[in-house]
Amino acid sequence: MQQYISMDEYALCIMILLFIFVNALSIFHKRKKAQLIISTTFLAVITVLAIVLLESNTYDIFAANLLNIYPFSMFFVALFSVGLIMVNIISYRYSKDYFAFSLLLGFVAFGMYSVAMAYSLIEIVLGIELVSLPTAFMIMVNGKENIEAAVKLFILSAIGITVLAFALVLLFPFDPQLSLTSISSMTGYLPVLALLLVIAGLAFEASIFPFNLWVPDVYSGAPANITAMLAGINKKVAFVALFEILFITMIPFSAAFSSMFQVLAVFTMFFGNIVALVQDNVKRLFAYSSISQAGYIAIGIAAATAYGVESSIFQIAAHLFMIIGTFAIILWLETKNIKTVQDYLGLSSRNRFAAFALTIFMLSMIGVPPLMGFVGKFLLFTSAINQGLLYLTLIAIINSFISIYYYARVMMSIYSKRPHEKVSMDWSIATVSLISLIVVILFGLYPQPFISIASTVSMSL
Amino acid sequence: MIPIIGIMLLLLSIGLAVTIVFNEKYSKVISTVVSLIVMELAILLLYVFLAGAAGSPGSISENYMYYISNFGISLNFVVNPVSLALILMASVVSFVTMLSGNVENENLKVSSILVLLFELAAIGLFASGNLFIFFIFWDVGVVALFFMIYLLGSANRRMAAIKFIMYELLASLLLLFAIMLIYFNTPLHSFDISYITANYSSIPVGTQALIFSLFFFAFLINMPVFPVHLWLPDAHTEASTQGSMLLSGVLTKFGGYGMILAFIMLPIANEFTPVIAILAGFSAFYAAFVLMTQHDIKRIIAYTTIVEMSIVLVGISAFSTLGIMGATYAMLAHGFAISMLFLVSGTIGYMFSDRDIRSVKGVVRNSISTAYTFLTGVFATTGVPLTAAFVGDVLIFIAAIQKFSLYGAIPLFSIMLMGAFLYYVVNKSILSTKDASKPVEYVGTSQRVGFSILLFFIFLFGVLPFIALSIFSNFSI
Amino acid sequence: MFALLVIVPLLAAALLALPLKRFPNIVKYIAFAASLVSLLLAYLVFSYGPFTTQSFNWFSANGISFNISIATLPLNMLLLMVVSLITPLVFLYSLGFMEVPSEQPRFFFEMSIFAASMMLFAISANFITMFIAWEMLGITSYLLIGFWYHKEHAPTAARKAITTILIGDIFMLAAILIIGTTYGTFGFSAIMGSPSSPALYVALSFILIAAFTKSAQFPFHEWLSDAMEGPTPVSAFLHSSTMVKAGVFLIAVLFPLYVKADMLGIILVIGLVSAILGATNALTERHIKKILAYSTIEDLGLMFVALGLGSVMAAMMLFFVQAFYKALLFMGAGYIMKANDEKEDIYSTYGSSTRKLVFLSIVIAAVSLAGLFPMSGFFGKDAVNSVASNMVVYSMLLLIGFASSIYIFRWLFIPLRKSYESGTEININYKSTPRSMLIPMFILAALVFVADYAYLKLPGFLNGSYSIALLSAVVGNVIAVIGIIVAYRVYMKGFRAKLSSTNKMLFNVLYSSRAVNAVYLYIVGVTMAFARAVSAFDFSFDKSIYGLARSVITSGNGLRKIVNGQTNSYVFAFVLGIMFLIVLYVLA
Repeated sequence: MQQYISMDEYALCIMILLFIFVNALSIFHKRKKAQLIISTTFLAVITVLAIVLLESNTYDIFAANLLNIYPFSMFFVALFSVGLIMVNIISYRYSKDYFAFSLLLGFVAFGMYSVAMAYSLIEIVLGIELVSLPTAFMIMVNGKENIEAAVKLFILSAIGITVLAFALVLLFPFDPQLSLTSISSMTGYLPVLALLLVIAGLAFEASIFPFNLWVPDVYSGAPANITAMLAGINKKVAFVALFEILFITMIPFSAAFSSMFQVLAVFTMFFGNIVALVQDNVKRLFAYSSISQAGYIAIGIAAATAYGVESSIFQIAAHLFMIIGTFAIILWLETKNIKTVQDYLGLSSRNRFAAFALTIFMLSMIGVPPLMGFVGKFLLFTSAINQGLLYLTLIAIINSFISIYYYARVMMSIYSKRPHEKVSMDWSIATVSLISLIVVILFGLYPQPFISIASTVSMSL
Repeated sequence: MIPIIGIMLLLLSIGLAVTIVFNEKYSKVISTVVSLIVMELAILLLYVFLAGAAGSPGSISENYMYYISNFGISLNFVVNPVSLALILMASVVSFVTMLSGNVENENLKVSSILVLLFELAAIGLFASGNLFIFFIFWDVGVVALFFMIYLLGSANRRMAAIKFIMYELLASLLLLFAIMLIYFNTPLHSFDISYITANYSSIPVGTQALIFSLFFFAFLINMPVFPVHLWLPDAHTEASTQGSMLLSGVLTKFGGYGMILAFIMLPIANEFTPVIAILAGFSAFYAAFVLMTQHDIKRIIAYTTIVEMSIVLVGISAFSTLGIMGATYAMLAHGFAISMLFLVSGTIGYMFSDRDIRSVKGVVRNSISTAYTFLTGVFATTGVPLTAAFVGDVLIFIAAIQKFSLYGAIPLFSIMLMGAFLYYVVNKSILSTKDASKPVEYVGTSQRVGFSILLFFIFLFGVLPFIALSIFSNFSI
Repeated sequence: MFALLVIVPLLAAALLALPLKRFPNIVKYIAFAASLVSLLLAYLVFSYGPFTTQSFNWFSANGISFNISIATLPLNMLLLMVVSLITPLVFLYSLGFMEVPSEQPRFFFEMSIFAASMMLFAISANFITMFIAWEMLGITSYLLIGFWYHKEHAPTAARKAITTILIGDIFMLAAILIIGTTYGTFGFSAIMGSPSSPALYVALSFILIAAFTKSAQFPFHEWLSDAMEGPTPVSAFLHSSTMVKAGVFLIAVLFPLYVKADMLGIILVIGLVSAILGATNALTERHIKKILAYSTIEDLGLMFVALGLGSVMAAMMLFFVQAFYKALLFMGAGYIMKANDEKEDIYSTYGSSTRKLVFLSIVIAAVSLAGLFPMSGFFGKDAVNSVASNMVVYSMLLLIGFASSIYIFRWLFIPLRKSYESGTEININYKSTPRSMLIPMFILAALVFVADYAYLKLPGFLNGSYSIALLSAVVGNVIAVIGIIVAYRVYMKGFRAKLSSTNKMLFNVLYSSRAVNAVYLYIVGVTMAFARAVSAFDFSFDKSIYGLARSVITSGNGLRKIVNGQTNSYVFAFVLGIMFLIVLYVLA
């Protein structure tokens, strides 16, 4: 069969490589604004290309069986690029060493793309590694106060990646290519062990209980722009890897991992929500909130159907926008030394837009229609019910109920009547939160296009 | 055929956008005009409905774009007699709220935005032809009122607001669970209310019971009825006048309307009716007794809402055409009466900077219109003939007696307790002699206009009940 | 045309509701003119109207029709006549009585509404119509009792009245709904013909309770004496001659049902108890209007006694004649009070016989109340006495008659025995009483005589029979005269002073008002205590849910300890997690 390789694919490949290259150059030329424009442009072009490929429904294996181009990968390439653009913009001002950040961003991006477009399991492991380790360095370059978080992330990621690598070793006898295809044999304990280790290793990154204990420390210890990336993108990368491994390689074990993820989802949701109830530091509160969101996303995996994956994909996208928007504002407020729920009192009088945007993000996280978070939750819950997992839905609903309290607490402190002088928001934060806000509201009001895409994407898996 | 519901919703959305964009100076004018037009459209809708009801089965439906086509969810609006009555009530109450609810004339922009948003939610909800849309409007309404309580409320609004949103969103989550269950249990996977009504029998009986109880508890919280009523008194006490008016006048009807839908969609409800009726009757007496120990006028009126809505639930639990008609009529009447009472008590609170019946004395000496409007509100709440509530009560209790024989009349006596205390309030604070408390402010013209509009509707539907009852001419369950 | 009867006063009321501040004088004349028009209409109905029923559909729901239906059957005509005769007189009286211009619009508005609802009640032919009127009566009565809300006790009195009446209203509504549901109709005549059923017993006893509250019968009678806080025209109109008789009237209308249900005994007993309580309280009360109020309770009790004895005829006879003399007595009381600067205690007011004609009118009314021939009161009381087949009941009735002639002359003599100097303020007050207050008194005095005519007409009108037994009539008259003589000796000639030391105990026995009020307060207290208990439960229920929520929130504090900041424990958790997964897999 003759393969027709389109220009777009070449362009995408070249762009990705070029992106790493020019970002690496940034530490030499030291032109901040230029660097911002360059990386944003590259990411934007990658996004556009990925969307074009996604829309043209291309299925292709490219570049010496390295890059697997199909709607699933293209969707996530596009999504991650958008996320990175937003992180990049907020980091421009608030990163201590923007050039080092840019350099590392290139690696992180490459890691993300390779996970999304992975053709073999090795690429996934490498991708994960490329995502987590540079992130640890990103945290580190910001200053002494962040070193603890960086080290924690580094050590624990290393362990996670080791476990993941070990899982690959166990799979080697079954498929020496380690390609991303369904495992042929289900006999013996080796594949089972591999499955468990894969779950453990990726659950670590995806912040699923009990592998997620590092999350609050690192999220709150890292500067908020990196936290935005951790919560908004890195975590999603792990979910993408989980989709790929579980729904392609491990598909014969779907019953097993489904039941495991049911339990994990329940634990994660409860852990995130209940601990978040007593948090005073807003950043930490959102760290726990994002844990609980991971729990919701895990429901889609627990459902173990194409529809479940579709729901998870939708929620991943929704959460990416919500959390990056949120952390952008948190980042900005941190520089004004506004950190705890008490500090947020009367935020609306400081800046109406920030207050409004945060409120919308939180309402969306609660799952209030007509916002994107609601549609995501709705899809997830229906996917669970569709599989007869009534109890899981019920628990998720109880958790949504619990979560209302802490979100409402923040919302109320934002809107409490405390006159403050006005503080204007700088353009980078405003842009990012505005983009997120528009996406969250628009795809909440009219989610159909996005659902269709998610559906195509999940079907392609 | 003019798509009236669509125009109403569109107009409200445009009004909302315009109010957000424009300066605070114009926000009240714009939103008042918008809600006035919406009210007139609602009256037009009544006319169109009546004109159509002569020949057809009497329902108007409008279909718009698909919202989520995977689920077959379209913006699908159906107007049945129950919803028509409630749309009419909601639009009038919202208009009056907009016009005269903001007694203090503060926070005009925020309050205008929230009232319009809530009106949008209310009309959308009552008109929704599928459960998904119903749910969405439900949550929008709840969130709008949450902010109305929290942003515009009084000193202890924090606790009240969080209580409100916890209870209401619990209800909404139960509702969500129920509609998802319904969706997957109908043969064609549908949220469409009329489809579910026609095909309920294909749902397994156990699931039907489960779904019904989920619906039941969700709507019970919203109505509210004992034991899930606790959010309401606090929410009312702390909410602004506008918030209270919409809360009692319209929001509690979400639950009532939903309950009617749940009964109609899932006739398995019939097996629970004795229990529901007992609960409702108990709740009416319970609220009437709690009412008797309150001192804050708004809190007292809040508890009358529980009594009235419990009686509405008695009517629904009778589960007959007459009972549903009565419940609808009672909700219609209650919407006008209670929002008027809250408007009055807001005015009193504004005049005296105080709402405690022990210290407010002699309202009549300061404002005759306020005092006698309050008194008329008491009549309209206790179901005096020629006020709209009378018709509702009569229909409800006839249905209840038909269903539960003489026991059906028992909840009627809770009105006696409630009425006795309300008259006590009247004679203590309203029609009494003035001593210490002096008015700080005087009642404005817009409040008087608001009083008269609501009074007009109370007496219109009390003296000429056939206007509202004729929309039920083809209605039966 | 009957509809006009109701519409005319309503129109007047509507006119009064308009802001007519520019023409303060016109207000009261509108109301008065409307009442005259009503009288004319009533006369036309009487002269030319056949005995018919008309009804039209008010609304109908799911096959149940709610009709407004009106009738001019004999009983209706009787009440209509009373109402239409009394209304203009009271309005005329009020023209003089209500001096404050700012109060006039409200007063005449409420009075006109009352008049309209009384007319409606009089001609109502089904339960729905009757109930509308019934509730309107209660409400206007409430508003009028509390009319002078600046007075100290008026709001309390109004509340007492409305609370009692509300109890009745709810019972009435329940009864109506039960009847409507059971029989599918609300028409009086349709239900009369229907067979009896268990539901009917319940409904009839509910209606009886309602009638007792409205007509101030034991144990609901205390509100009527408090209702005297209202302006005197109100007392003369509502609380003696018209509204309070609604209960009696209703029972009379539904009489065949009570016969069928065999419930006359209870009516008799309650009526007798109320009559006794009314008479004894009237004997001991000092408030000039409350004496008359208790007397009204007694009269209403006697009407119920007559009904309980099975004679609608006798009840209606008393019903008819009582209206005139009681209205006249109240007007007299208002006349005396006005001259005495609104003093209410008979021991501190001064009577006057300077205006001979007025004095004579009041005496006529008092004599009529005492039941002396040839006043119309005689025919009323004798009618009741003569139907008493039971000796016990008869003797009790005689005793009550004796008491009533004592108390009414006590009421007359005590203010009169004190003399005052001519030319004092009181004298001037008496002299300057507005003419419009006096004319209706003369007319009423004439009517007290003319009402004798009822003796001739009523039996034929109501298709009943009633004849005077000579013995009973003589006994009644003799007892009344003895009562008057006793009252003259005791109160006019001052024997009371000698009795005062011994009658303390007697007073306590006779004056039951305080005890009854204490019982009311006790019931209210118990209800409130229960309400407080429920409220406390509500509060603790709220608190316990709050506590539950708090405990969920604080459980977060326990759980957060897992995140202790130590990397090694995170690694440990990681390992545990893998083990956990293994366990899960094995279990699955």
